[in-house]
Amino acid sequence: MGSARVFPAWHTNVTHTCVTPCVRRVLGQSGPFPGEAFRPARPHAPMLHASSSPVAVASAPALQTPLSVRSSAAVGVERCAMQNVKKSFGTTAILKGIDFDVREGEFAVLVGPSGCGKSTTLRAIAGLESIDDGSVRIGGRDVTLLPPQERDIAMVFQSYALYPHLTVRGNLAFGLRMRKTPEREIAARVQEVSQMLGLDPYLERKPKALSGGQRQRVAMGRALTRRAQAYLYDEPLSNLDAALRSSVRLEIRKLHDRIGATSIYVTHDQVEAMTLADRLWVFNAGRVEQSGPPSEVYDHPRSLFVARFVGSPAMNLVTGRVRRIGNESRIEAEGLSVPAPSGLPEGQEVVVGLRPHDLHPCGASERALGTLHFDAFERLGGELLAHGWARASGANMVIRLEGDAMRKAVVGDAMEVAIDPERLHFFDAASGLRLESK
Amino acid sequence: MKHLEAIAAHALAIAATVFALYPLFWVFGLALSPTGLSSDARMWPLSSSPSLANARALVEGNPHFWTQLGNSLVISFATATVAIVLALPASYALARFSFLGAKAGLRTMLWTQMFPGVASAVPLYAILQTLGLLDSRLGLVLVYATTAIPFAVLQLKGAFETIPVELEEAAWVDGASRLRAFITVVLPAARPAIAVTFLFAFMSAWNEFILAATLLSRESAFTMPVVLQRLVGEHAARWGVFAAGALVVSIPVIALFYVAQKSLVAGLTAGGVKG
Amino acid sequence: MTASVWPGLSALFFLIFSAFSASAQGDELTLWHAYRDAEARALEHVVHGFAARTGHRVTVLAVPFDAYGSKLAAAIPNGNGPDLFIEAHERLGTYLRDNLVEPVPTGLDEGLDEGLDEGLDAPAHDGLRDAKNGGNTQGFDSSARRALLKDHALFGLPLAVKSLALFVDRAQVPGPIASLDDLPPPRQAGTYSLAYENESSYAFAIFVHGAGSSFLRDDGTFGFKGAEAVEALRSVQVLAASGRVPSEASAALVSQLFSEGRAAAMISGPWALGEALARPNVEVLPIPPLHRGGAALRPFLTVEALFFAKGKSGRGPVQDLARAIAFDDGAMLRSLEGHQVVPRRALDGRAELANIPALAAFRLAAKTAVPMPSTVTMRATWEPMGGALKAVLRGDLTPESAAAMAERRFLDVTRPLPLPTSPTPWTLALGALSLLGAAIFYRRSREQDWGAAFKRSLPAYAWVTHAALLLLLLVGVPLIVGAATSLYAGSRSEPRFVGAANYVSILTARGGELLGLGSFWRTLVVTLLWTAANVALHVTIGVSLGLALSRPLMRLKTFYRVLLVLPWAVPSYVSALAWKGMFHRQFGAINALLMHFGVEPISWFARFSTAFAANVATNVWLGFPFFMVVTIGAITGLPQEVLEAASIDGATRWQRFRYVTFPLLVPALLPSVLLGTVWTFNQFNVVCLVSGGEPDGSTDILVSEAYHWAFTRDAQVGYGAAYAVLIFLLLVLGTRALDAIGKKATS
Repeated sequence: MGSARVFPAWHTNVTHTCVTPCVRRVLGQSGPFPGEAFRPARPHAPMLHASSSPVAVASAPALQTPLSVRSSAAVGVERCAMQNVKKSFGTTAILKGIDFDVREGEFAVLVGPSGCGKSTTLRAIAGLESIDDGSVRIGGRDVTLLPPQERDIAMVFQSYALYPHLTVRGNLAFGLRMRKTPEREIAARVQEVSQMLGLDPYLERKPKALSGGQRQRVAMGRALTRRAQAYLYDEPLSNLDAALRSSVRLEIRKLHDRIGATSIYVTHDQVEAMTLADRLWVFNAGRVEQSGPPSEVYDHPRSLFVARFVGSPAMNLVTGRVRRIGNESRIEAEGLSVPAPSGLPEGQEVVVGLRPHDLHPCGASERALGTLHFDAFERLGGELLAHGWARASGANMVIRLEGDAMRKAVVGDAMEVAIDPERLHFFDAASGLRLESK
Repeated sequence: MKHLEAIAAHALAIAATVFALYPLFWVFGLALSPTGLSSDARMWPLSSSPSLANARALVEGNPHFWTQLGNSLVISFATATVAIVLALPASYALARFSFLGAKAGLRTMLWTQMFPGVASAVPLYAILQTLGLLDSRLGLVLVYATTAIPFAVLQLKGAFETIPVELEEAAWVDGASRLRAFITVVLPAARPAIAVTFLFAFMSAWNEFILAATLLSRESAFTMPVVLQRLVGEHAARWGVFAAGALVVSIPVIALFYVAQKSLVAGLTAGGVKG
Repeated sequence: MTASVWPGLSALFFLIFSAFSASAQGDELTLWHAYRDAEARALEHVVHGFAARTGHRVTVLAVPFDAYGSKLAAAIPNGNGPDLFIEAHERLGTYLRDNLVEPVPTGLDEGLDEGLDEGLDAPAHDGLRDAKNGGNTQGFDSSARRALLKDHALFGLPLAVKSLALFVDRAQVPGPIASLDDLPPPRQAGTYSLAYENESSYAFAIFVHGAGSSFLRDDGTFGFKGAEAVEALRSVQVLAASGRVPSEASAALVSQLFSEGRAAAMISGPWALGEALARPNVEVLPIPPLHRGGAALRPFLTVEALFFAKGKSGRGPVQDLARAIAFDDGAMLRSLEGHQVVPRRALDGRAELANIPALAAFRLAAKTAVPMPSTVTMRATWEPMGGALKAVLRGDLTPESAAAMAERRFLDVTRPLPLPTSPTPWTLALGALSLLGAAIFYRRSREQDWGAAFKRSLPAYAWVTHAALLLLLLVGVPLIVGAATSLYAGSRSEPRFVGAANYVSILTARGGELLGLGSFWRTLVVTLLWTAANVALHVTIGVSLGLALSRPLMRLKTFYRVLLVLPWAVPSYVSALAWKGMFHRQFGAINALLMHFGVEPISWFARFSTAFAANVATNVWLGFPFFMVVTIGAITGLPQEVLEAASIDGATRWQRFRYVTFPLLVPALLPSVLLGTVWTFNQFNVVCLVSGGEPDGSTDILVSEAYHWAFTRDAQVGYGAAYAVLIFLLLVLGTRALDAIGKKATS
């Protein structure tokens, strides 16, 4: 149970515009998986496990139907886990005690900036990297001391690592050959995978005669022909261009929903992470900063680091102090004034987080946070990201505008902005940890 | 300007080609001339009446000719094979593992290349004698192979370093052991460098005559360089026959070079010559 | 030049022995020889006859001449050598010293000189002695037999004699020939009265003996000195100046000039019989005096003899085989089929030989020839004598100073061995060093890091061990043992530990001038010059071609590339010999080219500058394709974007090369340049085969000098090894320095 941290259910409004649930909704409709060979022994376990986070389930009702069908069977069987894994190169600690577990059929995403240890963690799972301390378990077996070939995993590499001297067919069959699978079965599985990934026309080509996207598919296919305990992805999309990346991303998720293979996916791209994950592990400097379903991480970033990292455009952060004005406790921060959560002593330095998507022009019945002076716009067509500042010395703020507000906005204008107080995030400026109302 | 440059480039290339080919034509002419070295100076030794007398003398005047040619081929192929088979794992380890003694070993190997053979030839003879390998093809192959190994190791180590590690990692994850991944994935990827290294090892054995002349006694065990060298030895100066023989020994290597032409550039660049 | 290396190499192999193989037992007989062609066939014919008659099994092994001595020296002490072996008498001294031979068993020495005063045992009395034995048709010619006597004991049965004689083309010289003056003068340019190897010490010996001088005196001291020596040098000088003999004549040229009728006569040996006798009108005569009434010109005599290997003479079958080969029937067969000049009296006047009068003529010549001294120091005379001869022929030195130089060089080579030193301090130092090493190793092995690192290294060792072991055995051990021999002096039978004496002697130029000919320092300067010239040309030509052939629009790229790598593909000894031929003064292509443009032909190997240039030209030819290929590879590896960026930035083609391509190429080429430097520094083949150190060893580089010391100059193995160690140290330090400079320059 990696995500043992329980967050209070103080948000119930599900109108946020994060892309993840939408995509899931679409994917959730996809038909049953055609290839019997890929159906895991156990049906897909839901990533929104009822056990610890009823709130999360409530937050994504659209998902309940398709996934709950699958989750009717036993839930939460551990497939891959790490306990207190440490590793250092010389005096540099790379992993400072990673705990981690992925359940049967779950799509886990490890995300974080470069150098945070996520790739090392993945490689340690694969056995490509030795660890100094702790243990790794795959399929209920302690594999800490086993070489990669005995761990029964499949992996997709960032560089694809296609065998240049083998044809696509040879690449797809390689893993099965190594495991002495009968040739007939190899042929069948290669056939199945190539059909699924649309590789049929290229089976006899060598990798160098393929385009980047095709190579990526072969790399995926090579992993998928295998029947492995877990499928590892090491930034598999980073070599593709933006358009291709988002379409392949979608396909990966679709595929996962169809075959429900236990997957561990490493990326530094938080959009990718949010889109794909059943559960997210946000890494920072060799530690897991936060883990949980993407919506939970998005809605309740546990620290400033997570708040900054998850969400695009990034959360606006302003620093201020708690001040008591009459019987109301408020935080005055860089020209903005927001209500302080209860229980904070006066004078405490607090970082206030406001997601651009939560900010909106101040309505008649609302109390304004302050006035933003716009100095730059990013027009995205259907919406506008307006950059501005509330006070000359204050931080740059971003607000997302749509509809009329978007059309009327002009650089140089000022606008009174407001936010649903429930959507405010507070962090202790000293520790960077999330502050909750008491 | 561009034209001038092209003309200059061609002029250079043509001049170099003439420089490179002239001695070869000279040997060729000598081989076909009925008299061997003609007694007056000629720029073009090609006789007006070319004859195959020298070639005939080379083959027919020597009852062991075909055996000796065979020896050269067998020994050179065996040398290259043994050297490559031994150098491959060693250079792989040097490229992929960091281990105690790797640097020292590499440096020592480089140093052995700087020690003139004059001083080590004698003890080498003694060792082969102890092993009972004097006057045997096996002994010669072992000696040639060991002299070819250091260069082969440097060459292959460089080649392995250019092969992405992920390729192997993918194979391990796919269930291959280290050795299996090495054989099924790394070796095929290093093919050009292996071909070039093979060619060099082959050439070193094919061209060697100092050790061959000392370690071999039976005439039927000679290699071609020994045969050729004896043609122009102390009391013989059968230059025409020598030239015919020179063509015989040069043609296989030239053919191999031609075949390896593409790999030569790639293999050398990827290989140890670079580092 | 290889030819002179080879016999030397043999001597080196003396140092070694180990007895693991079993010797021949029972009635299995082994005979070794170095004959080829007709001589070898005749010998085998004789042996087969013997085997068929007696039922013994005889193994006849034709050992290459070059390695013959070394093989005997290695095999006989082990007991796996031959029972009998055939060898020239002048090696007897060496074989006696090394204890490889036994006297002829008394039953086989017919002892026909009994009763003769041994005091008369000098060449001048051979005729007398033969006359005394007159009518005696038994036994061997006295001159031949005498060459094999040591302390009144006969070592070896004479099989054949070889000496120089005069071949006369009777079509051109019908009349009697009382002196060399009687040969007709050249009819036109390109024809000669007499062809002989005028630069070879062996042929020069004729004139040395004619002038009453000698190579070595009977007591083994240097004989070529004084007025007689000057006289000998002057006579060849006059002969060369007369234009009646070809200059720089090799054995091949001599026989060719003669066979083409362009020389009225030639001086050559029995090895030329086969070809010469195929022509009509050729007569062989003993060499007449230089001038009418002058002293006889007497060549060296080599007696090829059948020797009994140590410990083998007692066996009956061995004696039987010796008798069958050396005595009458065998002798006849060898004469008839192998054209050997057999010094056997029983063959006198035999009808079968009547139609080969040349054999008789050679036998006659042999009777007045001077047996080559068989002392160990004989081999040290060839180089000084040849040097003096060539210096005079080239006009570099007067006969007087040339003779003085010859003696000096002989003494230099045969200088007494350094005094033996106690190896104790060295052993102690070595022991202390290994103890220290062991201590360091032990301490490090106890460090935890080291232990962990070792454990982590274990899987890697599985991959390297086999190659490492083989390298250690076949490269490491010989290298270490070889380096250790540099602390010894003397021959293999009596090695003497001398500590650093060899090094001291080398570095102080043996007490002579520090930059004198043949000194370490001078050779070092030549070597550095050689390396610098070659590497500079290799890189310049290779890189220019690489750049030209990498031009994207270059036509015929592949065509050029295929042709230009050819020099690399041809075996280097073949190319080196071909280049040597091309630089030949008389029929070389280079001089032909010069003459075509009206330039006087050049004696390429007569002067340091031209000989050096010839070596460099050869080596550049051999080496530039490598750099061309490396350059092409490096250019292929250059990032194309950088060049494009530079041209967008407005760089001209030259600027792009100067500021972008070139700086990027340097680091890629640097390792190859280092490698090329090491190869060139130790490029033995070219120097040895092309100039052979000519003139006078001035173009020798350190490696060829090491070879000369180890193999040709009385086999001073330890001295040669010390050279090798110095070369090694120079290269290690030099490449490290170059590497550091190169890295600094590129960073």
